[in-house]
Amino acid sequence: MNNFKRELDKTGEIGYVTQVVDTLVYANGIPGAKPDELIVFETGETGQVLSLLENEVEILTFSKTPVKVGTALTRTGKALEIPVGTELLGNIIDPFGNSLEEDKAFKKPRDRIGVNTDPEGIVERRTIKTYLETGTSIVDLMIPLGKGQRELVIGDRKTGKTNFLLHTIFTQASRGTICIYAAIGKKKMDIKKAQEFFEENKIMDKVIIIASTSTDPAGSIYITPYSALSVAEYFRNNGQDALVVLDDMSTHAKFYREISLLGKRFPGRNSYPGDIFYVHARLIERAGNFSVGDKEAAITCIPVVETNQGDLSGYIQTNLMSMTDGHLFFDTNLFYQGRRPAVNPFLSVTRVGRQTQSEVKRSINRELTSFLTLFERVQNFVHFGSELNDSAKVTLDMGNKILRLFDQPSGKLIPSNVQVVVFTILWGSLLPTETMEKLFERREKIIEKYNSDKNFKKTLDDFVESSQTLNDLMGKIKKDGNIVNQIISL
Amino acid sequence: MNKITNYGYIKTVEEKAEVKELLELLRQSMFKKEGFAKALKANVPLKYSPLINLFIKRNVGKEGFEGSLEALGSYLNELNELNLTLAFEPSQEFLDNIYKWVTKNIGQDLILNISVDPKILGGTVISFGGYYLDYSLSKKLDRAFSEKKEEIRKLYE
Repeated sequence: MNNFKRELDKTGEIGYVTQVVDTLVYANGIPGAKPDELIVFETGETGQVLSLLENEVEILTFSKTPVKVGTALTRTGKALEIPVGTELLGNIIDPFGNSLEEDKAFKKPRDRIGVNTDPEGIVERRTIKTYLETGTSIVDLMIPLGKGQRELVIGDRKTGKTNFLLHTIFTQASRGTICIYAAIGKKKMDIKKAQEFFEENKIMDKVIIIASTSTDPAGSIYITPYSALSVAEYFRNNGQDALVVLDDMSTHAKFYREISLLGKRFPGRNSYPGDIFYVHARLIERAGNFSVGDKEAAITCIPVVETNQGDLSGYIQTNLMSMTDGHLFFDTNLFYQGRRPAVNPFLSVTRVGRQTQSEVKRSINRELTSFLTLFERVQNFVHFGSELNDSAKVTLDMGNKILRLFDQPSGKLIPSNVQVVVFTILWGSLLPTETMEKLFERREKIIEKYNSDKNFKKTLDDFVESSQTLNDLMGKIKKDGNIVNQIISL
Repeated sequence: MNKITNYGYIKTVEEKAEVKELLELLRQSMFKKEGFAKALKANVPLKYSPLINLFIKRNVGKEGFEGSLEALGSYLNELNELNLTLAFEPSQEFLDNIYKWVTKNIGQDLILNISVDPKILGGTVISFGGYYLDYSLSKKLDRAFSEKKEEIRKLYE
């Protein structure tokens, strides 16, 4: 009420609600209202001007309690803002910056930033050059990502997308990147699980969860990803890299469709409004690699979209595929075969990730891609039950070993250079008598030593980074008995 | 804002509501045994009969009695409301004076929506066409107290 009186005194304009249509409210008066302006009701609720009609203003409300006809309202003269600052780290907040944890002390930051800002222009943008480690072998080796890339995660429900995302956040938060997880219209249980994952892995101090639950009004759910990008922009402006995960955009599209249909917008394909592409594109375009002063800072955006029975040609799915720099496809068939993560490397794309890889990783990428294509073809022959020659058997054996190597349980972080070395050992059969189980055990020990012994870490990193190709790295490992002995003794 | 002439018979929203109720009664009487003429004679108060007569005379030739009542109903909907909040219940004379001033200085198409709120202490709060103007005594006192906060505190000490 105090807020309403204060804004009313400031602007001197008043309006009254004439019609309520679920989350949309139509009001007369407030002649100076502008699109996207923040509106305050006398009962304390807030809303945003959606459009200006001949005699009325259409307002999208953000409150759970419905506004009554006849309620007075006033405009604030400013657009919707969210409080931003380092105080947000470690907290679960709603899209307006209010803490959702009642039992935790929360100090709201003083700085505020607009939620619906325009994306940066071309002049401020820089080429994506820094590698973004996800900690998942199949993605890091075959479908690499870069800092500032927009990579879509696409797949059916229950194919392990969220697990992969949490894993990526875990890896990046451990490297010091600020991670923002936007839970758009999710169940409270799912949001709680994500929080518990971050707390168990002790990375909550680098993570902000911006959540709107499935019971929240459509207006709040609609604004969630915009708030997440605004918070990321704050950290970018302070020179810090940020990773934003938008989980998920198909829910966002559904709620925007609901708002548009209630507002009598003409329905387009699949009843989505005609501006659904614009609504998502202006969000995704806010990510990228930018020049900040004399440094560079990146906002990496990973939007998620659900498919129906593996159909990649859906409307929202194809929209998002066209506005991102690639996609990771989570295949249901691979999931049922037991592959974790169920990423299909042949149907996945990365448009700007390869330029961030080192020479040796690019070489591994090329070898792997051509080998796995061959492996697929040989597997098809096996179905015919025909006799296999020795070469086919070797291909099948190596292919199965590589697929087993790519299987990674959730929560396991494998540093990028360790992935390269372990793969090289397997590829070059440098420890030929070893079983896969022994190799996995050895990998665990290498990871442990890599994380604890600085000298070992430096040696391994130097080996990998000074190599030009996979063969070069294999040759170096074979020649340097010291490194091999260190690995064998583990 | 629609510009129409307010014939001066309806000055407040309460009077507008009264006339609307009357119109509904007259509409229903057309289909009853007693008839429209009898309802007109029995139910219309003296102060509104000139207004109703005016609309019937103007429209009965083209649209009949029902059309005349509809025309009067549309006219009532087009009247614009000026919201006034006062600290006391105004007398009829006070209301007439305000109405005269408003129609002379602002527009002919207005009626008054008076609400009483003793908390404003005096003066008035005007709200019209989306604009809000607070000329209440309570606001002036609030402003004065906040500007002279330090002096008042010293007096108290």
